[in-house]
Amino acid sequence: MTDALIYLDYAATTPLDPAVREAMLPWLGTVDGYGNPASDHAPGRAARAAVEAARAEVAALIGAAAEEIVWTSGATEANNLAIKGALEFRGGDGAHVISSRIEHKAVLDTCRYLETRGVAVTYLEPDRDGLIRAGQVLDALRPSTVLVSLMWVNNETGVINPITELAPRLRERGVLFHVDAVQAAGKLPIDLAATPVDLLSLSAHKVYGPKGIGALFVRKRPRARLAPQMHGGGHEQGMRSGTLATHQIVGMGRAFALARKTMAADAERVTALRERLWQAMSVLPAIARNGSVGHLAPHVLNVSFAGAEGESLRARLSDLAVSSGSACSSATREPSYVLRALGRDDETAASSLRFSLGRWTTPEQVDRAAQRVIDEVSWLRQLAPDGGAA
Amino acid sequence: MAVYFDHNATTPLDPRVLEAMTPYLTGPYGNPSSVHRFGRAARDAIEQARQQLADLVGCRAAEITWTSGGTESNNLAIKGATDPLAPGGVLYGATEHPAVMEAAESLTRRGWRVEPIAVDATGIVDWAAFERQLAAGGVRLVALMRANNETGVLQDVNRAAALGHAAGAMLHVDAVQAAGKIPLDFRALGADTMSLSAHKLYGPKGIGALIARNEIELAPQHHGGPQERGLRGGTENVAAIVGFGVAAELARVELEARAAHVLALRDRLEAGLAALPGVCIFGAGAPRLPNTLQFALEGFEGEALLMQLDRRGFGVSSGSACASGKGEPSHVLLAMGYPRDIAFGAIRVSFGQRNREEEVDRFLQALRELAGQR
Amino acid sequence: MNRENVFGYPEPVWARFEAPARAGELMAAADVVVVEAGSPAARGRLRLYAQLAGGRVVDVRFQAYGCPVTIAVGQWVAEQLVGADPRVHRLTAADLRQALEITDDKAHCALMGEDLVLALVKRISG
Repeated sequence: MTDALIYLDYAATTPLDPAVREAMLPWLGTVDGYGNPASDHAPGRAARAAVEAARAEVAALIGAAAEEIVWTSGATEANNLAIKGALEFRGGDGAHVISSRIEHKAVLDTCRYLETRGVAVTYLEPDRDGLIRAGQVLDALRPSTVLVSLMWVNNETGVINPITELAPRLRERGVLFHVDAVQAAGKLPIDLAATPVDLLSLSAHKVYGPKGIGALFVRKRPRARLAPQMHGGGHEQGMRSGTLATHQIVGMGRAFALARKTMAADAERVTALRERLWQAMSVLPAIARNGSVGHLAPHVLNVSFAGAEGESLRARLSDLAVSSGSACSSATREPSYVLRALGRDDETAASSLRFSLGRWTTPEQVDRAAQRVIDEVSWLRQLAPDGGAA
Repeated sequence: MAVYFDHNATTPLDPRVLEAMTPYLTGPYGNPSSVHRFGRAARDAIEQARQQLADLVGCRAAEITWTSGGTESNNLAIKGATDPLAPGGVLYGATEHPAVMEAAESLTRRGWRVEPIAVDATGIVDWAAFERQLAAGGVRLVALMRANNETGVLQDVNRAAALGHAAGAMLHVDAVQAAGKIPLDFRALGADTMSLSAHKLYGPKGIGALIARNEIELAPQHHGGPQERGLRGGTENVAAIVGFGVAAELARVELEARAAHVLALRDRLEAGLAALPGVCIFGAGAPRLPNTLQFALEGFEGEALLMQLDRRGFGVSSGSACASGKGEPSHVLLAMGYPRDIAFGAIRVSFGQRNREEEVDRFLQALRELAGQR
Repeated sequence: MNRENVFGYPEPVWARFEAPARAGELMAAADVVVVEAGSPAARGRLRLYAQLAGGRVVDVRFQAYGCPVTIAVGQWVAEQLVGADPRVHRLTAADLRQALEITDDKAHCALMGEDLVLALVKRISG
């Protein structure tokens, strides 16, 4: 089975954990377990109880209270609700928002939309290692700043932003703090009881849960106030309407419960595999790791292979599921905007691959992946004029 | 053995739909926006489902945008279609689902003039009043549901489309309750946008669709990512989309048989109810969905009756299964002119494929006993 | 190693990208000319080594940096040139697009191939 596809794209999406699937199946009910959680009869009450148990599990992983969790259709909706909801509630005109150049598209596109509605947005630049310093954020504050939106872990480089350091400083200044924690949840300890973040976006399908479900943490004390973005029916304390998808929610709950149990061990194992992958590939000359090695989430390794054009490299590595940049923008085949923000030129950005590891990655897969990368990079460099040197 | 008579709130999953979804709940099927092999398999499955849904509702596959459900579809249609326009007028049927009413009402903060369209005592649009509202000018959008979720009353959407278009307004149709229960043809209805939901037709919860004619410019409401041609960002819910596709195909093939089955049950219930004293059937004079019957029993408060029925194992509802308006009488019945005390007594029965005559008889028996205890 | 055409490149492109038989270089010699073409849009470069005898190409190799279509263009041009007189047997971007089924979004790769042939013609004629 040496030709089997090696999946190293866990940061794009994760397979469902079999235990999560088992938990979901009773709520994909053909005979039972199909009630609408908003219904006031036995099937409805059963679904509601399952939804509330899942809410408590999601809250437990991040040190929140169950009533601070609002279900959404995923992280994109959670990011939209947090940012547009906060600005709409406070009134956007003349308001200032701080974000960064390396946020997920869901945050960047939402910020760009707000700019069309009279909101001023500062997009912070990371350094060459992908780091955004707390001081940079504080220096960008203005009297009109109402919201800071930063990701906890960058999806392309794996670099961790100084969220725990920043949160108390922003709280002191009365600035609302939204954190996209999609790549951090289940990877790093998050304790919102100790970290005064106001709004935090979560996704299930990056944590071995199902696609199509996410959540927004909305702090109760002090209360983060949002204008709803999906109207009708008044579900989720009026913040997000629509019939709750019981099976998806139960899946997210089980996935987060599993993550709470296995996070520490997973992090240690995955970090070791990531370094093994990097070490094995390091026999190649002229390759460079992207992202500050001292500030990395366990699961991401981003490497630039000078002289091996990115599209050809991916095409020749059809037996490896890896990303060149974020999956969400790779269809457009533009070099990663994140790597460009780190100061890489188009050429380097386009010849970079993101490897992301997870629960079922094995040492054998890592070794085989490294060998395949070495073979194909060498082949492409040999094909190129002057060995790929510009 | 519990009896489930609340299919307008949600339906059980068809086992054939679950079977089609199962491969996508197993193994690493990938993020469909990723370009590697797993991602491509997911993308192909999504496009097949789009065609299956298009075949059910008489639209082109390219006109379908996946959403998280009927509520998001209605929000995207109403807010998305009005965002690119200078503020004007919006009209919506007085008996619309809260997702339509509240999305429309939210536009008042953006400077839009938002008004309900009155209905008559049977729940049908008051056409004369509607025409007067259109004649006042400036109406850019009309929202009218094909089938009401509480009473099952059907609206003449074609007529609304013709009148609205003549006045320069777009028409949005909430077809969440109609799809899979009665024939539905997007083109023939003359609608510009139309909302659908999977879990009302034996598909999974958490997935819906918005149909929009190419000419309609919609502003995205979920910003971020190129999914759904930039109109709706977010990683696609592959398993649910596949489930929706298969549910739509089954609904198309079995539509007539399904409608005949529930209509027989509905007629049996209606005949049985007629023998009870003080029964009021809402929307009785109007064309209705074959599976829906909303009624009140004189002297009964709805919540108390629901609780009694629930205790006896009958899952019915007072109306909408929404979280808002709990403890309030149905806005649908108030719009039809019923006084609050009658509206408070409303019980909605909505039948599904697995319901049987014997269940209807037991339900009638329970009602007779409860009426006798009064 | 079984590579799969998972990104759906046209078959004539994929076959040449998978195994470009004329990849490589020719030793510098009096009868060997070297020409290049590049495209910023494709972030690509092509280099052609042609051994000439009386205006005819008797041996040819190519080198390429770029996407799979760029690499396939290099291979196809090399294939066509063997035994041909490029001044007579003129290869154009349209020929390339037809032969390799190149789509509009990759048209610049075909143009790069045409530029490469033009550079060779110019070198032989000049």
